[in-house]
Amino acid sequence: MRRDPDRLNRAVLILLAVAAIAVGVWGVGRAAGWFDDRHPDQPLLLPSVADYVARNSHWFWPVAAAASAVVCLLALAWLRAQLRLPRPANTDLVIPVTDGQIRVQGDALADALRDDVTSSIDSVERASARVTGYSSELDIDLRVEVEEDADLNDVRGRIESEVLARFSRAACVTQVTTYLDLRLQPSGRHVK
Amino acid sequence: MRLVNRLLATLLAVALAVFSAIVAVEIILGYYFGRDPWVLPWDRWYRRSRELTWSDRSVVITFVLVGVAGILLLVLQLWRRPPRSLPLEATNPAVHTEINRHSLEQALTRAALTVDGVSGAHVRSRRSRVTVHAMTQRRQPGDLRDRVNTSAAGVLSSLRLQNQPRLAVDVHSRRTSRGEV
Repeated sequence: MRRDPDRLNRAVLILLAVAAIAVGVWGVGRAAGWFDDRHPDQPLLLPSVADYVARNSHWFWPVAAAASAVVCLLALAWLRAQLRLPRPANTDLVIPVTDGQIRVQGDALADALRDDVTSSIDSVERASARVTGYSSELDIDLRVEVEEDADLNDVRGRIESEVLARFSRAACVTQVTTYLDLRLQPSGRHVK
Repeated sequence: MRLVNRLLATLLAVALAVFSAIVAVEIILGYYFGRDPWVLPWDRWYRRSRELTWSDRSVVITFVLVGVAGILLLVLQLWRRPPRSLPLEATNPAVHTEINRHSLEQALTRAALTVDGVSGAHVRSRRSRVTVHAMTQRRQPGDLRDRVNTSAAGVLSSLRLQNQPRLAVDVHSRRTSRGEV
């Protein structure tokens, strides 16, 4: 449920690293004459390349400008991924009824779920929830801090069978996918 | 590590976006309007690239630095880092439950500290291995290692982790030189 850019960063950085290694090896290889004995003494801008660009300037420069613009857009998308919050914002739930539709605020739903978890299970010290999706299919990101000497399986069981069941009934949603993130806390750290 | 990657990604994304935008503008100004360089001194770069040869020292050093930077970046990315959280056994297909790794390490540290004779502890967890480093003031740790192991294993088994990690316990005596039991 978390939408950290960790995987994206890793993939892009690996790509850039491989590209840098390839450029480095290629440059050193040309300087050392690995590919052709004449290359080390040739200018950095090879005459053949300069001639090719000059002959095809009618399409080369527009394509180069377009490629730069695409790279710019991709870089901006990458930058945007860094600035996004790790948890999604709550979305309002729209429930269709015979005469129209009922809109329930996502923040209110998330607050109700959080309050239900903290008030109905003693060993839960703190909780926070995010509710996203549609009335037909809802995703819940539930973060729960539990006293470490509590029976964690009991806490999980009560969240699954009682709290989430109550939530589904109240929100009139049949399909709910929950991402439950448990954190252990020292007992008695927080007074409810 | 994630923070380093995030900072690196932000800097590179900004640099790439700014540079590629300037390149696009320079091409449009230079090619379509015949204007002089705006920000990038490409006319100077063009002259310089015809003077320099592939075997020039500065060119070789630049390529070596680019290659080394690439290798360092690749090693940094391929380094296995501990997961943010560990999945628990599924009891309901619609509920994906995980436990925060940092809070688990803290709980195991506290479990180790409850053992009589342990004066300090810290825990490091990876995907498949949890290591408890316990410190004691005793000259002879005796069965401290087993007792710390029992305490930490009790916490781990109560969680029902999807992949039960191997538990290792080191006991270091502060009075001796880092003796291990």
